[in-house]
Amino acid sequence: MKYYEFDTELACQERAVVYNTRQQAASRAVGDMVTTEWAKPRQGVNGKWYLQKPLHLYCKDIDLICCVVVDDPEFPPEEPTQ
Amino acid sequence: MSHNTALGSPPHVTAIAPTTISAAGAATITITGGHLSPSCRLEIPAALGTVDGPGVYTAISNSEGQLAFPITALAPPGSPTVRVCTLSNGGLTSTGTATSIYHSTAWDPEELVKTAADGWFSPAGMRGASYPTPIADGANIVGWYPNGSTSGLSKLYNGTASDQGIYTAAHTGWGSSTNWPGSSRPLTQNKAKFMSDNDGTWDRASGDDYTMALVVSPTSVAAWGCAYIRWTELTGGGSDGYTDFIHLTGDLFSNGPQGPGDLVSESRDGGQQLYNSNINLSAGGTHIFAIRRVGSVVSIYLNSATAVQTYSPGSSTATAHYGMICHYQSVVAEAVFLKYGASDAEMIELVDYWDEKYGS
Repeated sequence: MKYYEFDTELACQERAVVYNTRQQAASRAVGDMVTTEWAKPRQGVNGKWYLQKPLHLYCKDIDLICCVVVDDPEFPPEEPTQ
Repeated sequence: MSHNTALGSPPHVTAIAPTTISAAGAATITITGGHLSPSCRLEIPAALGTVDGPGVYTAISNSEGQLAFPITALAPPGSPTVRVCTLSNGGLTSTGTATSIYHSTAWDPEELVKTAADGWFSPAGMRGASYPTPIADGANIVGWYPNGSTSGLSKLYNGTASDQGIYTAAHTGWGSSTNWPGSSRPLTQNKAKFMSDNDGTWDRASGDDYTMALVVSPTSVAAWGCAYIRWTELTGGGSDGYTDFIHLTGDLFSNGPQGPGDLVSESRDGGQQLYNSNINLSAGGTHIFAIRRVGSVVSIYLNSATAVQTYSPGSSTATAHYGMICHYQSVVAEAVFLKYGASDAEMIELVDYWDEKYGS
């Protein structure tokens, strides 16, 4: 799975807002009033911030928003573990 | 004259099928055993129906065979009833397994939903953008609603598109030959997280009994994720020490003592428990797991109505507010949340129902 990688949480959140807006528009178009976000930004174990890249969308200006596209970064466990 | 009467040997029964008749109409009662012959006579109570002809014999081996009797069954009574049948030959009644049949309407988990605080979630309650329009194959599941009108539990849902389950109309990986529908999450996507609101319908005090159960089919060979069901005080993930859950783990969550195919459970402050199930998740199929609390005993079930593990719950005094189902690289079809500890008989009904439907 591909992610946009950001150095700061702020930059990641700003990109998330863009995709959330797009998702809200797509949701409203089909009468979905529940789905209001595309994905939540997550911090990886390396301290960088990641936003899941939509399969059907691609940002053409990733240099301008200071991020790179990476595959499957490592995240801390978010589920019940020992 | 058959050899049975000549020898004076009664028919010996090893199995009878079906064990339950749940509808009126034509049916076949098949008896398996030894010393069987077409001269054997099956008598059934008038309340069950009538036998329409002699048994048709099919040999299985030199000493074992099957007799198939055509019958016309009557509708089941209001209360489930055991109908005692009699198989005989030359006046000698059968030995071996009892020839009784359960005469009852078809059981489904809705019978476990006794109050508004209980709920049975099946694929029929999965909805896309607009409720109650049925969801289309491949669409994101926006809300998962409980079955029937007894349950007062609010829907499980997710407002984040990348965390929603995907409705699969015909999953081919079940242990049965029927491609039952369910919520799917493939390898290339996030976990599906179905969560409730904190709206009071999911509230449960720390001392309350409960039952939670889930039927799952893994779908990935290389890195199977997880599937869990929980009743919790928090909406998010993380181990907070105050969560009731059961968790079938895979490669992705093999940190700590648990390994792929293990079952992890927690009951409030009782601490996490690990059961080394050694499930081969790569093989797919169907897995049924459940956690039940009755008083001071928490029981864990895996593909059986016999507990594989029991332990004592903790003594937390907080209240749980949320229900949650989460899964990854798997298909989840049905789940049960009960605000009471199901009886042993009810656990048997539930596991049998899922086992017959989804295979094992």
